[in-house]
Amino acid sequence: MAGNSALAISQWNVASLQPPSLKAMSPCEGMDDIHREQLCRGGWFSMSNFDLIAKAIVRYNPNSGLEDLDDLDEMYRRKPVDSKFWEDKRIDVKKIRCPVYMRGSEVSALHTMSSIGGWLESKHDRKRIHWGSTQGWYELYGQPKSNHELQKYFDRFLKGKQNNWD
Amino acid sequence: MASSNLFSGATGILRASQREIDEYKSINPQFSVHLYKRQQEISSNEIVKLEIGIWATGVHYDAGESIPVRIGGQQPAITEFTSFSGPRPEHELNKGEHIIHPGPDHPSKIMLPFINIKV
Repeated sequence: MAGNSALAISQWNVASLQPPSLKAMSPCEGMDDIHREQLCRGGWFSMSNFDLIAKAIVRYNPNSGLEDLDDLDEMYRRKPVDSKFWEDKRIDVKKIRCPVYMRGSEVSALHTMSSIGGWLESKHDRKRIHWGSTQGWYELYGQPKSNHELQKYFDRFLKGKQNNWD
Repeated sequence: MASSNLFSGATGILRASQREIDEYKSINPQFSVHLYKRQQEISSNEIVKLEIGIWATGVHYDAGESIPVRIGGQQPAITEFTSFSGPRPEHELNKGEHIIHPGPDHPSKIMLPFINIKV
């Protein structure tokens, strides 16, 4: 699995369930605790980029009949400290059993500490973090060398090529 | 209006009422993680110790360059995010005068981890 932001969060979620077929993952700009590290940093609630995602990207329409998005603002209003609602969204990164090639950066100012914390907590001995100087989306889609590095990683762990990755 | 720069520096955020530290989750002495299990309000003139984890950066500094520190009372956010969300309710915002005590009676410090790299 490989992907950025939400696609990195879903990788961590899936990998923490320890699917036996999962052999390698490459989460870029991930997140394992949206309460502590995004929406309620330091106990200060902020919708961060979630309204942008809901309104401009997902384009959620409350009358569409689609499954509801969580009302995060309302959940904070009901209980302004940690709760089962937020606990349920945390990912136990320590359960991940496959090699991890992560990317992170400070530039997005969203995933910074989650990327580091997730890398520190990953238990596999073949784990690597690449700290970017630009931003994950750009590096993955705009820099050929990033793609080559990703290919090398998957060649090593999916095809068993001895290519000096580790 | 679009922000020309999404990153204005590493931030550390803490409400004084949520200063209780989670020893288990804290990465190291430079980065405290908090519990958020209860709100401990502060009465007027009460002085409390706050440990605020500033997010990491990977910045290469040349000799002679310096680092500024800015302290604020509200959470900074870029226009791209805030323009999609309404303002936070009045009772959540900081009000009044907040005093920082960095003097000899209340020693205070900023911890900056440096590593030397070959360039």
